[in-house]
Amino acid sequence: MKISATSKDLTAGLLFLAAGAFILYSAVQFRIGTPRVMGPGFFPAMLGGLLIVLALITILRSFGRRDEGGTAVRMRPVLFILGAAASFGLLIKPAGLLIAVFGTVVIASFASNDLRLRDAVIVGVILAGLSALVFVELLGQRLPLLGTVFG
Amino acid sequence: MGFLDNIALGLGEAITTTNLLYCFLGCLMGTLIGVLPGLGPAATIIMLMPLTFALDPTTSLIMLAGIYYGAQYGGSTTAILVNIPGEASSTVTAIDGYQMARKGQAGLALSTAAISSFIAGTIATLVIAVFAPVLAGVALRFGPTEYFALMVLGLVCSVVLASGSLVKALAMVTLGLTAGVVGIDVTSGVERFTFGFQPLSNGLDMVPVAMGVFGLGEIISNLSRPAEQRTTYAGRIGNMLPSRKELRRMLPPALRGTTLGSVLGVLPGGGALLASFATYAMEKRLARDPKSFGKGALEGVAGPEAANNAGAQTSFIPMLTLGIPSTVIMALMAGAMMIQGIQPGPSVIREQPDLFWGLIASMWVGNLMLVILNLPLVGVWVKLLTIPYRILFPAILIFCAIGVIAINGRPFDIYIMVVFGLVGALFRRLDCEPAPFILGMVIGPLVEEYLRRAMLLSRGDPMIFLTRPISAVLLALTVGLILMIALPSLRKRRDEALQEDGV
Repeated sequence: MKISATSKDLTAGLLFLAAGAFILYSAVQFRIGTPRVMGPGFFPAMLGGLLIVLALITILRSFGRRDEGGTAVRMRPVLFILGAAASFGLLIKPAGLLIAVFGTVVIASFASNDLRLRDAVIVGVILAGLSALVFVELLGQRLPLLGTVFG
Repeated sequence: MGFLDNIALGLGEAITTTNLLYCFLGCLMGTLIGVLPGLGPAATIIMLMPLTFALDPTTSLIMLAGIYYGAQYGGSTTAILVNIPGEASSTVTAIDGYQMARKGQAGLALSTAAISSFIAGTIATLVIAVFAPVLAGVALRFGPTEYFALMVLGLVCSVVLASGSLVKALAMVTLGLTAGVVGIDVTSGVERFTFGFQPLSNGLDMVPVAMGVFGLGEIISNLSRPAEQRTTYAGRIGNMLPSRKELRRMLPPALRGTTLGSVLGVLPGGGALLASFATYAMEKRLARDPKSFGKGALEGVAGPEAANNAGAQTSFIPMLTLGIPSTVIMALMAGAMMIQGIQPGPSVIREQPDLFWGLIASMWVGNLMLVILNLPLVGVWVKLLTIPYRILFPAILIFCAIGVIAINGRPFDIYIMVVFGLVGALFRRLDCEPAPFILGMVIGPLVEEYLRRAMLLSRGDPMIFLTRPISAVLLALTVGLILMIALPSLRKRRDEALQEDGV
């Protein structure tokens, strides 16, 4: 998939527009109040309105720009890095630090093109050991080494 | 209290064994992480910040400041040795520094960077010590109206000095301000933008958000580059100690860079980046042999490094005296102060003089430590540069994850990090700078509070911002800046200034 400068501006503008509309809509639900005694919605409403204006400018300008050719977009790093981080959150309580670190490292290693699974496993084991040593033993972080499933 | 008393108080605070130790640890850790390719100072600070939470306020700020200088120095090292600048402002160092390294003068380039930074740091520390109390004195007389106007100016400035599209950056600031609003509104008790998530009622925590945007964001964008183009440094370091003649060559550019950097660094937008580019251009014009620039000119390293470091130092002034962070790094520092229960602002200097002067004195101590630290340790940094990225990035990821979970011990913060990692990656793809977002988020609650108070004071009349002279001037400056950038001819010159010499 390729993405060009024009479509970048257009996409950004549309995203800002959606966000601005959502912010403005929510702000109205919060109660706006008066300028003298501002309600909880007053400031967000201002921001939402401003964002909509900026979004419209971005969208309009995207049509006037010359297209400078596209850049390739790669989804693999996004998916695996975010997935690895999320798995840490999922594993830390039930499985504990050692397994969470190991799992995160192995999943994350799929993000790189030059994946070597054997290396990933080795790095995972080393990092699990190191983080237990440094963060739990030396720095005294209160993280369970083994989680609740191990009783 | 006189100037010398303040300095003495500060040095007394900075030279306690504990503070010296943590200043040293901060510099060491900062350099260690900052030297890793693809990690800028913002990412380094955010990764190491959780280590400082358990310390007492003064010590934790001293350590954070040390991390900041270390990260910057580490970034310059990487720029010189392997031509991978960790942040925009060390791209300038990379131009001539890397060429020097290729000519076998890596040692000289590194010591030039260290010595110029030290000169700049020393002078800039004095600048802060002289001007910060004055500015804080003025700021104490500011009311909510003036503060609101000042924050608007600061936010717009930070956008103007950043590179890229102005409108998109303004939109990012606005989004950031909205993110700052998340949580229970103090005045009305209404929950805003929490989507029913109970942990969000106290607001979005800065650490997981910044860790997602910068930590995960940088890993993703590094991995997204086509092929691994990193070259590991194989050459000799050469002699580290400069000769007397070389010292004489680096001094004038370092002093000029310091002057420019100190002045531009105080600007509400934080001008360290602009300062290093401007200094490079200036040195090139002043040089007897401008052709040597780009081919390993000593002056091309000394000037920008000094400017960058001086600017980094004086950018503390608006944060410490007005409570308004002007760069994303200062926003992180302000966030760390708030976590320690200190509201940055003009009262800090009066109510906690030991903290204020201790921090300033430790800036100088930190700069000195960096020089001492880097002469013997440069071999270690070179070794670090040979670690392949496929081993490095899982370690960085683990560091981010443990750092986030360590704050409150709740997996929820990890998911916040993931969400903002996605948001950060998305916006980077769309050429929207994430830094203004973080800046907006940190000062969002303050902007709303001051706006609310100003409007209450004026009984709902927005004209108060124009009838009060100080706020009128500040807002006029803001409008002037926006117009200046919006005009095509000036816009072009700004782009040229930021991209001079095709970096």
